Amino acid sequence: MPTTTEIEARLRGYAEQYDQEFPSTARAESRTMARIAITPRPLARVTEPGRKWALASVRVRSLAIACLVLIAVGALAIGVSRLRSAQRHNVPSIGVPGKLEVYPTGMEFISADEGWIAETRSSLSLAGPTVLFRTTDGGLTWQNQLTWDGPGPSQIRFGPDGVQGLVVGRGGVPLFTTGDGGAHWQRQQIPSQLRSADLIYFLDAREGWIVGYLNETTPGFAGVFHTTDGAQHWTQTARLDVGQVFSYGQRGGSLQASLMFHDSSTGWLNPGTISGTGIPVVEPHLYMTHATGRISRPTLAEFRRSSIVCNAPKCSEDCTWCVLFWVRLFVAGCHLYVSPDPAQALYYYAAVAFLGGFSERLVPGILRSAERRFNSSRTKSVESKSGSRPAG
Amino acid sequence: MNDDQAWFEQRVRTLGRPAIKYANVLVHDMNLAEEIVQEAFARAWASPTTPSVAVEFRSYLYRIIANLAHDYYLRQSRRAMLNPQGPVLMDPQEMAERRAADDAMKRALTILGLRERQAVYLRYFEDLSVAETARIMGARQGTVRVIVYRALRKLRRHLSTNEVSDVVAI
Repeated sequence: MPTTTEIEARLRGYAEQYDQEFPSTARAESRTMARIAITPRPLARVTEPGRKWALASVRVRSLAIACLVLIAVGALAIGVSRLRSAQRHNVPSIGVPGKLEVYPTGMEFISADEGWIAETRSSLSLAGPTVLFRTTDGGLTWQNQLTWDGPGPSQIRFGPDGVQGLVVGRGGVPLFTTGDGGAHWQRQQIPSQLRSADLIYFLDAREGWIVGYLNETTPGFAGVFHTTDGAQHWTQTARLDVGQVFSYGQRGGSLQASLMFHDSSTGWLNPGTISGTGIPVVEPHLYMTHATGRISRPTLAEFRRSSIVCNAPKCSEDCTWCVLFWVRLFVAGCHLYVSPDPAQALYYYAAVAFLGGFSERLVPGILRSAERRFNSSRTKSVESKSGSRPAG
Repeated sequence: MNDDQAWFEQRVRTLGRPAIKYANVLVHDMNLAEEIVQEAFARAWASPTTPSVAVEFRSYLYRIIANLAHDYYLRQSRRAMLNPQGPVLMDPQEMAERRAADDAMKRALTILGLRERQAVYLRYFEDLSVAETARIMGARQGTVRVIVYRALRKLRRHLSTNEVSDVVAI
């Protein structure tokens, strides 16, 4: 095989031969000039050497300007889009089921003017992200205070002054606490003895309980932990046999239940029942922490548990005002049920999920007086911003 | 004749022949090469951005020629796709004449791609430097070196395999 040098030498030799044998191009040049003579020349012929670059730079400049205009238009479009998105986030709004919209998933009002609303952006699963808004003018304006990637909170609790507060996560989302009205939030850990936080209930911004499976070698036991300093420190108060407490000793007991406390000493544990899974269905029942134990509550027997879409109405202690979200879904709504026993001073709050299930919560208070003294003007302002409508 | 036309005629007289030689290497057809060069000069004449400095004018002209040759091959390939034909049978007499004229190298050059032919012609036929070749081809010097290297390698392989066995019966 010839070397590269040989090939180069042969190429140069061939080039000489090619040049020598190449026919005359005089006629072609004459034809070219004849064509040039009949070809119109441009008005601005380049004669000076630097002119080419001047013209080139004009083109480059035009191109650059066009690019800048395009970039500016793109940036403007993105900016407008983000601004609209931000505006949307600053104004809570209730979405349409089946679409990627937002739903209110939490609410806490410490006065008719000041309160917090959590809304979760999702279609059916309400999987998040969730945004916490605060209003100090009865819902006329809202501030975005906290965003997390997860489902809506199970609770939002604030003290009477609106300074100390916490958000109780759901579905593995941790606790968030604030000491400055929501301007800054800290993530709190669950007790280290627990594998998971299955049930959490906070009475207020400082006192709460958490129930979860214990980190023990013997499975099937849950621990109840209590805090009085806003989830900073936890104390174990009980150890529960899940199979006994949650399933009458039957197989299939789990920590699927609802937990609620009326005050520091009285609380209810309402174990859930699951149908269609081969696990025996257990009648709904309540556990009280301080009384004789299980309390029969037949009025709730008609309900099946499901995820709570609506939130319990928030009323003031003297029932001078009350805020309630009404989510307009396909076949769903939030319904209030008056306790059959007025002496219990409880009314039942049931939320019908759009998937067809029911869920219930107990809210202390006297509904009838709350209805009578309902402050519609305040809730209208919430309605106007959130798309909800007042109850009643 | 005004100054512009006189200036341009000077360019045609100076660059006409090398330009046709260049185009002929690219398209392997003398008549087509003349047409391409004529078209290239006409475009250079009609364009307001044609440089006036001789070296730059040549680069500009050669680029037009290369573009026109590229367009020609593009049309050829499209036509071939539309009208598929069998291999062209070469006239033995023509073949003998060609062989007598340029031997194996001319045929070897036909196996090169357009860019390779450009680079080889500018480097070895016009003895341009890599920098000048790169400027005319509108490529970086490193790219030109790679193109030339690959072209030479192709030529080596082709010449080594065909010179021994290529015997044409007349």
